[in-house]
Amino acid sequence: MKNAVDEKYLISPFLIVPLMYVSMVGVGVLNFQRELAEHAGYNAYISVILVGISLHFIIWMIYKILSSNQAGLDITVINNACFGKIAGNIINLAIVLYFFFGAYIEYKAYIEVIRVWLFPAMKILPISVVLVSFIYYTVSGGFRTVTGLCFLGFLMTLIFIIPENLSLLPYLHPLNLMPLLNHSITDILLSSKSMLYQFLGFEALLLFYPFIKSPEKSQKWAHSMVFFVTLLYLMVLIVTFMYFSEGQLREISWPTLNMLKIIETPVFQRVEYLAISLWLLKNLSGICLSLWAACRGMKSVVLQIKPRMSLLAFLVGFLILECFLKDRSSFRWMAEFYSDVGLYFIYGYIPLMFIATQLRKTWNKG
Amino acid sequence: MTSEFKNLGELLQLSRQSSDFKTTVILLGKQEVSIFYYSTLIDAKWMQQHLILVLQNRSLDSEIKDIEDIKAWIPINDVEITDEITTIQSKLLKGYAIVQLHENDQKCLLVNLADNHGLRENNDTENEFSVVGPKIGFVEDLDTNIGLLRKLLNIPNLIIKEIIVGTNSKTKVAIIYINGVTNEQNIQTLEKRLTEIDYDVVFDSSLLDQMISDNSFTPFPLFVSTERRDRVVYSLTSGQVAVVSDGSPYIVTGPATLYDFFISAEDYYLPWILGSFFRLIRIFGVIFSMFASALYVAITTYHYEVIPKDLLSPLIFSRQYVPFPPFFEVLFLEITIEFLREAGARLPTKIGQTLGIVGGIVIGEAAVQAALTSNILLILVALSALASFTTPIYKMSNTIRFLRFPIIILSALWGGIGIFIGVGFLFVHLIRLRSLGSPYVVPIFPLRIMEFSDSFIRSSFQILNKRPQRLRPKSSVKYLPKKAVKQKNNLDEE
Repeated sequence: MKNAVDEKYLISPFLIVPLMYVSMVGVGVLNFQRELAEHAGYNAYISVILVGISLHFIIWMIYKILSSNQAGLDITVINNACFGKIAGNIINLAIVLYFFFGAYIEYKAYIEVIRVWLFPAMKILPISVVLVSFIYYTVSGGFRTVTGLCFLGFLMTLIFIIPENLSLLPYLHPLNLMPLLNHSITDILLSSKSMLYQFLGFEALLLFYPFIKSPEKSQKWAHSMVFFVTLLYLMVLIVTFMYFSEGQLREISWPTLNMLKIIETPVFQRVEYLAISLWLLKNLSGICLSLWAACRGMKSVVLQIKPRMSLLAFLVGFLILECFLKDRSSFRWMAEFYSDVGLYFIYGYIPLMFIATQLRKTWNKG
Repeated sequence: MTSEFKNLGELLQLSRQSSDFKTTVILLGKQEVSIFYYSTLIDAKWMQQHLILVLQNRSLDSEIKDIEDIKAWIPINDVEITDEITTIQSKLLKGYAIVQLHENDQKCLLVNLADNHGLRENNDTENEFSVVGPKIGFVEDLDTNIGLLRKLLNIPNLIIKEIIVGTNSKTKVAIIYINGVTNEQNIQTLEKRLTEIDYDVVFDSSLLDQMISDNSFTPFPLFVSTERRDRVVYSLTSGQVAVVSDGSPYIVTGPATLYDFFISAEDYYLPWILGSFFRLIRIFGVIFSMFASALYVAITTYHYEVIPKDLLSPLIFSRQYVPFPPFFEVLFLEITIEFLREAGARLPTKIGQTLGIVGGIVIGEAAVQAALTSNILLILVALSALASFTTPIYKMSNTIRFLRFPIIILSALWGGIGIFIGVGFLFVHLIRLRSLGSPYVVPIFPLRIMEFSDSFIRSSFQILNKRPQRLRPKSSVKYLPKKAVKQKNNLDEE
């Protein structure tokens, strides 16, 4: 068994707040409303609440899984302990790939926003190289640096997202929400699935758990973040529903950005340009967190690769994917696949691990 | 330290090659006594009065048997008898005179006759000026500087540790800290780094600053260097360590955080509300100075939709005859300002002032007239230059002036996204920086709510009675806060 993480690399329990925030609020907050309304229509707010509640259970399970081990180790070690060396490592590799693709999808989605809103004719390769070198610089600075960037991303978007929604209040039509319940449970559950996709990423907790100083103290923060982010999505969703009519919403790709168009300040005529630029930092911090988790997971997979090497490999992978994945349909396919895997990961793998570790615990005692 | 000389004779023989190395032979009774010294290092008058005259007078009525006899006669306290060639060599070069009784004696007397000529007596804090508060600055002499500090910090706990640095200059460098306050870890780290320095001549403490810094690949200064006495004393009482180098009017203090560079001593002399306001102004100035021209480039090149419709016409009006893209326009003006600054810093003060007027008014006005730049940009660039000079520590204001260039280039490449890539790089770089092993952007990351009281704002002295925890001081309370006097400020004191 390897040692727990050195004291000087630890972060204080409170800092789980920005980490949870950036991993749960993705670039999707700019356009999740439309996909959500596809199935459940304007009842989709129920889906948000459902997913939020279910995630509280998942977080609770994650903490149970991770604290079942005395030394405060991450999921890769627990996998090895539960499933043996070979099967454990296959699962670990799957987790690493899951985080890598999670990071890539987040990255690609953001590039898409830049392309559509800012620079339709931009060459992607140069900016990709710069962004990738930025990610390298951040992740190679270790977990504390990643946390720092997440903190900045958290602050920057938070001071933006709430005033943005408040300033829309005069343009809202509350009656849009009526009737409150007119869709079947299946529709609402289908919407929940696309809502879960927005939340994906917080599973990085499985890997950064040992980096938290006295992790049991962080649980309340994790729960309150799930609550807060659910509320945030709910707020954005309800504001969108009250702003656009259902027919309008179907025609719009980025509802959040479209709503921003109406806001005018004395200095800025079009606030969404600022929003997209601001969003860069939050997005990069989410990507960095996922990639850090992937590198961390890679460390415990059979080969014992140095994290710096695997980071470089991942980033080169980014650039290669960038060159070959040019059409949108294959990207959509990848995102959907990732979303499916995420569904099984959250609602299948984690409860399974929860039962396994609890059984092991009682078995070891008895 | 080892000497290349085997005995005193060899040392003297080499030293005689210098024209300022003098030998005076005086007759004491029947005894011929030689005195060797560097005439450029000693005070000749002092030697005449307190060494030669005294020796001659005393030798009239007593006989010299041994060199010990002479020692008792000399009315100077720093007198030493030794035969160690290394000591003799180093002291001779520090302004001591060697008194040798017989030729080929290995044992000799060293008398301190050092002269401090060529040094400033005092120094006004011209480079870190404050309207309110003392204007005492440090000078180029180590002992004077330590004396200045001792006068303000009247406690025996103020510890001075001396280290010799520099293979050729043999500069005395002192580590200063307050015993029982400063964390030992910091002192040890600093001492270790200073002793590990291998360099020939230590010209200034700024050199040491770079050599002991944690990361040399950064434009940011990792230690505060200041010429203000009050500033150093404040740092010491907060639990920081100071490094003084002989021959430098700047004292280096650390571990520093980014905010230390935006603190002026005056903030503490003014009421806290004003102090906080000026601090915020300074920080706003820095942000403005770094991003104003970059924002101009980004908006005029890519995001013209962002410009409010009322501002659009003045902007178009001012730019309509400018033939260059905004990036070159900005670069042209920014570099002009850099030329002005650099020329102003290199020229004597009086010419510098004239130059400022010529450069600022004539060039600026003419550039707009000739349609090389727009006058809105001229205002922006001039304002951001002005804002960058609000930073109290000169080294930091240079850093800020430098940083705007990469950000301008990024904004020319990718507009708003480019600016935020720059912000990201900057922030991550700052997070990764450490000063003496402690984080550089402390109250923000790692987040320390308590330390906001003395970073962006300067709170009242009732709150500032604790030392910042980031320095891990051994005792955390500076003084007991004054208990709030119960004031009856309500209606007519009831």
